[in-house]
Amino acid sequence: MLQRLLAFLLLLCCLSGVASGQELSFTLAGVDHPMLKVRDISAKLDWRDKVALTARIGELGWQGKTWRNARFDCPDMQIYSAHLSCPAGRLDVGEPIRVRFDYWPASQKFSISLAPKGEQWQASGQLTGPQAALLLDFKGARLARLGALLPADMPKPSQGRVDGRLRIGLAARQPATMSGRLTLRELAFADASGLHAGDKLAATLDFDASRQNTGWRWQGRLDWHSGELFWNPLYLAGGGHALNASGRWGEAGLAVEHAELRLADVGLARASLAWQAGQGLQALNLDASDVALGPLYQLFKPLLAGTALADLAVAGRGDLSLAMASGQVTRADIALRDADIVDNQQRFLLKAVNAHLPWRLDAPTEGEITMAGGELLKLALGATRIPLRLNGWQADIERAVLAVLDGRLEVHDFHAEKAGEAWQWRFQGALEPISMPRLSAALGWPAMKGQLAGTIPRVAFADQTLTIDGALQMQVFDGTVELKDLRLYNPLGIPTLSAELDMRRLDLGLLTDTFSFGNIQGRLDAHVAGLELSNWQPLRFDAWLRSSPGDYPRKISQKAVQNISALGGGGAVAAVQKSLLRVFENFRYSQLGLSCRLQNGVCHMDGVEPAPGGYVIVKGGGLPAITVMGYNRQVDWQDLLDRLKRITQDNLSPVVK
Amino acid sequence: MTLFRQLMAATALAAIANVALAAADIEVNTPAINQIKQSMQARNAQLAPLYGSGAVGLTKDGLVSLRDANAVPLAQRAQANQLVAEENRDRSQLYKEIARANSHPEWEGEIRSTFAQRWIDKAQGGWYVQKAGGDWVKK
Repeated sequence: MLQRLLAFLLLLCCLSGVASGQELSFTLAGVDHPMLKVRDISAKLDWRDKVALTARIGELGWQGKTWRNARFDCPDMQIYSAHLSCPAGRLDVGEPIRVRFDYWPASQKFSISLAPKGEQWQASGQLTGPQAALLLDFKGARLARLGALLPADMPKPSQGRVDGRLRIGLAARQPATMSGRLTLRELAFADASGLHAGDKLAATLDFDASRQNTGWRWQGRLDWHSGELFWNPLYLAGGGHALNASGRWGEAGLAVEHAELRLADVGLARASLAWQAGQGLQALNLDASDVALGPLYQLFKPLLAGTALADLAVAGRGDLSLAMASGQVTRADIALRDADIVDNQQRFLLKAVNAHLPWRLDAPTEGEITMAGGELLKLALGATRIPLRLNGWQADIERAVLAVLDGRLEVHDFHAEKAGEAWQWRFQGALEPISMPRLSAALGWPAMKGQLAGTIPRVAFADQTLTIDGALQMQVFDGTVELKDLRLYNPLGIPTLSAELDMRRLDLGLLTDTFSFGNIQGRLDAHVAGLELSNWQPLRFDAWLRSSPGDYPRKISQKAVQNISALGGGGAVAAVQKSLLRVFENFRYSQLGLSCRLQNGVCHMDGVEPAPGGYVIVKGGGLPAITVMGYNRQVDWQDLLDRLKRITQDNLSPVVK
Repeated sequence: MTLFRQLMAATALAAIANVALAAADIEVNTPAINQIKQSMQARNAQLAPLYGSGAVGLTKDGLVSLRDANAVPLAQRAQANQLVAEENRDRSQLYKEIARANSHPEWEGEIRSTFAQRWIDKAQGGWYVQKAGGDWVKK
């Protein structure tokens, strides 16, 4: 019997030992491997009453984790001719673990059971013969124990239990088949960065795999019952999701031949894919029909951070079909049905969008987008239909008409294309009259009279910059306003705008009424050169405004005179004869004008002509005549704005003595 | 002698850096700078608990970094990531705008390091800040 035992121990290791009487002490050299380290093993076998084994492992290391002074005791080893058994052993690696093992050397059958408190890890099997197989059984097994077995860069389980069974069929001592069912509960895991993590996960995994040539053929099903998962940047929570898949796996990579993914609330997707080691995803076919767009948007929302689509509320349903070959997307078919898309930052709102977009990497296709209506920057949009021509990374719209308030925006020759990673686009267009009262009401401006209409020259967007070539013309206050050389940099972030503005023959009567300024009869030309706005606040410009040339009635009311004077900031009204101001309601003038060159927050002012110690803002002519002078040449821009605001809010009551 | 030369060179460099920065007005205000500061201020209410928990730390180069996402509940981790990205976009633009407002776009690097030191000096006790070597320390 002893001989058999010694033969067995010798089989296991090379040992050097000392035998004395009824005791055998021996030490083992150990194993030193990058993955596994076992050092300084000493054991003592005592066979006085019972056969007892006491072993001490000085250092036990696995994947960077080290236990010191691990002990194993088997106080009653049962040794029979064909069977070695330790029914009540005890392993101590910081916590006591009950161990039971049985071994049949001749047939190489074994069974080992580790039972830390509340857990059971069991392995049994037969290592040779046609039935060679391993069976692993888990009951309440704590998954955190596996952390030390996993490579350092993989997410590590910190909590959770597993129940289930794994069967590994062996052929020539190599795994040839694997199947099992594992039920996970309360699983929490995370990698070092915390960017791949799960919490309170409960799931059941069934799988079946067999070795074929150099790889494995597998099929499996994962039922996700509850919990949350964050796989940067995607976040998935809840339960009721299921994945059914089959394919092959080998050193070259992973092939999923059929997969069916059901996401609760979203819908069902069918997919196949090929992932190659070192090259990533090479091929993909994905079909998802009739999915709910709202929950789908929530799932992919983090991917849209920093774009115009970053903060939406989406409703409706849609279909998506996608194909990828040789690492690039070659086909996409997208359909939206009655989708409502609302920007939570209230920049746009699209109602009942229906879209049919078939896209091919290397062939032209025709698509269409329609919508029942919506809003863009608080301007109501009517129903519209947009026919699209798609060709690889290019899209064209020959002509589309968008109802805006009571007018229409026509878009011609829209062309978009992808240049490198960024998209650039351009179009031309025309604006059919929108009534200014409706536009100003929609934008919360003072009610302006007139119409907004004109042609829109070439508008282009590239390198985060929106440029308008040529002039944008508007008809307002019975005159024309022309916006030229407009460039808007970074429209989605903190925008910077530069432009030239030219206004001709604005009706001062309409203008002053609109802004409650006091009445001025006449016509006005204005020019703003080198206008630069940063975040819609003027940074610099060189502006002047003055009476238009020509023959027309020129009158100014007492209130307007007072307001202009107040604008100058004290002392401006010196040239007004106090008595006259009291007597007459209206005055005549021959010329009025004011200029401001804004630099570093200061407006450098001038008028229609110089005067002793100042400049003339309103030059009298006819009877009763009035002259308004300005004396301040440097006015703080913010002060000027505040004064203008007070005046137009009509709560200024100037005191005229 | 070599050591002496190196010291002299270092002193000269430091002097030049100081001259450049002495000339830079890092308190300069433009509408763009105001907007960035407002945007950062509005975000600070959401970032403060992340600094407090150690999830987010102040880097040595004037940015913030998600140094321990595990300190953030899973459902808020994507948002924390996004806050950090937005904050860094603002900070980078702030340094650029201040350099531009000083009419010296090439000072961006110096302005960034001045701010990096300022943020770290102003950080509350318990927040994580990055040392020159790259290690994180709790202030």
